[in-house]
Amino acid sequence: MTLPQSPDAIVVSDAHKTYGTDQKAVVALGGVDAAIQRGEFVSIIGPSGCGKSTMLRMIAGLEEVDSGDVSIFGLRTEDACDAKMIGLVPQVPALLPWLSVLDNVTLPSKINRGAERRRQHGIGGVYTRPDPVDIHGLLDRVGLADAAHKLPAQLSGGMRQRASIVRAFGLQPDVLLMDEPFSALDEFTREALQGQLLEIWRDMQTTVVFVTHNVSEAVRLSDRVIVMGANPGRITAEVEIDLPRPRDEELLKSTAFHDYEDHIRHQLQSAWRDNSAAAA
Amino acid sequence: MTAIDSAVSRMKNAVGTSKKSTSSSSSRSTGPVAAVKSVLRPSFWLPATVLLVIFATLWRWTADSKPYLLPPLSAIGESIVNDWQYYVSNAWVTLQVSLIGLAIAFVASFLLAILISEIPMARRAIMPYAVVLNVTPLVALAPALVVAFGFGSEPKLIVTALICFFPILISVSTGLLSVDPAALHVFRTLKASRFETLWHLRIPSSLPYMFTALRVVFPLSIIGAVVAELNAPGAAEGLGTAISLASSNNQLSVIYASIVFLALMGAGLLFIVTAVERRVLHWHESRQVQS
Ligand SMILES: Nc1ncnc2c1ncn2[C@@H]1O[C@H](COP(=O)(O)OP(=O)(O)OP(=O)(O)O)[C@@H](O)[C@H]1O
Ligand SMILES: [Mg+2]
Repeated sequence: MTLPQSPDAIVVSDAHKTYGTDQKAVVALGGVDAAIQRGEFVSIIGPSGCGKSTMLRMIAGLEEVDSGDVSIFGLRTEDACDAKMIGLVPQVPALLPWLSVLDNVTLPSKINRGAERRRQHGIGGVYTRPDPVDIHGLLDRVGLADAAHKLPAQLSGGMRQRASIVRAFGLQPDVLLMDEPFSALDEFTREALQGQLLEIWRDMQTTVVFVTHNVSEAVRLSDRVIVMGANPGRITAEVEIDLPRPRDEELLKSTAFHDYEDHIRHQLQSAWRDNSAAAA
Repeated sequence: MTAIDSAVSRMKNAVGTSKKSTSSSSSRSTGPVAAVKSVLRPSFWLPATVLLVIFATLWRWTADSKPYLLPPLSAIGESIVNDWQYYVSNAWVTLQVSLIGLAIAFVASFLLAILISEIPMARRAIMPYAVVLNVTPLVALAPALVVAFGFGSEPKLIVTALICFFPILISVSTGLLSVDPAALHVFRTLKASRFETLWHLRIPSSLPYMFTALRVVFPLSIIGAVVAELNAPGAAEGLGTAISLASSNNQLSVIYASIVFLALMGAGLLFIVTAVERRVLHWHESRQVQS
């Protein structure tokens, strides 16, 4: 199947990606189709090794596909990167250890300076920028105002991940790609960061693609959850999360929330069972 | 049983708190006063002093029984005190050769390291030779260079630069490539140019490697300068020349006095490198403490 490009969606169309050759070949993506609307918060969930990171890297333009097509609001990924439309939050914070938190989060603005102009004037109908982001305000919102002049080594894991998120949001990206950003954090920190992420997302209206292993995290954050299966990596189900926002503590305890969780767990299990049946 | 347990745990607590308090007090008072205090503690200076006394005794005993092996320590001391101007001026010449040679090597090897880290083809062409030449004792080239360039400063600078070149090249090019892949991904999604990636990411990442090389290469530069001087004596000054002359005149104490100056120079350079490294790489050390 081939999906048409759209100026208002990230479109992945019939994407194939195989690592290795012959016997050892791993089909990380075997014909993936997906359309993510502008402003949508989409989570990708699936068993380990099913190709979630590969898909994210592909959207980020870090991975060449074997066949198929990726377009970001009607642009090639290359052009989207060139206009600094994409913010990446890797699984590890990847802060530069020799720079203070403030220097780390402002570094993207010092790189590829031509991009601001390209975005302003719009390539292929990219919408024009609002006022530049108040980076100090962002740091303040995530509780890093006092740590602005500290080095990454002086921060806790959660603080580093927050800095990494601020670095990505500081660009005001049209797309935010996050690869299990909270997986190394404890439960409480994780939930606090989820809340902060949702708040900033609501204000900035960025499109988010969020890879996770965690079912409740996916349900809490997303408008839609994409469930992937392994070998070949493919989309096995898509679940719209029709819950009101903002999603606070109360909602997390509601039955509707738990029903979504159960539903997605069920989808994951059947994907997993299909996979082990295929392997046997 | 329980009484013993509680006693043990109380002891543990006591030990724990005392440890905590000493560590916090030492981390709080890191000023020069504290440094002097810790140096004054016998546990700090006694072991090395005892070894020095043993060494001096052995030396003295050898010098007394076999004067052609070692000069008396007093003779070395006298030579240094009486002729200090001679040693200092020669040391200054040697120091200049080693530092200028090192500077040449540093600039050249850093530029080449950037080239081979950016262009895989250049790396495949150059790296094998760099590795072989790094383990070749290039000081052996000194006599040939003296034949080729005469007794001026050129052969000395060339030898010094050559032996400093490859360690820096190998370390820095390794450092330029040992970049956090996740950080590199972030740079790539920003479409950072090659220069931006080099300047903001690769060069800072390579600094710890560069300082490791510098700690090796500063003392090496003195070796290079001295060996070159030993091979071209008479024409110019320098501690190598001084040693060579003294050797042909059987002046053991002059040789050892020169060696004392060389050792002091080496130690001084190492001290400076380490101090600069601590300054520049403060972020790196603190990271090591964490992990
Ligand atoms: N660079 C690579 N070279 C070879 N194989 C790779 C490479 N990257 C990924 N793979 C393989 O492709 C498959 C999908 O990998 P991917 O990292 O996308 O999985 P994932 O869903 O993100 O898993 P996890 O949840 O464990 O992070 C895996 O089987 C992996 O072994
Ligand atoms: Mg992954």
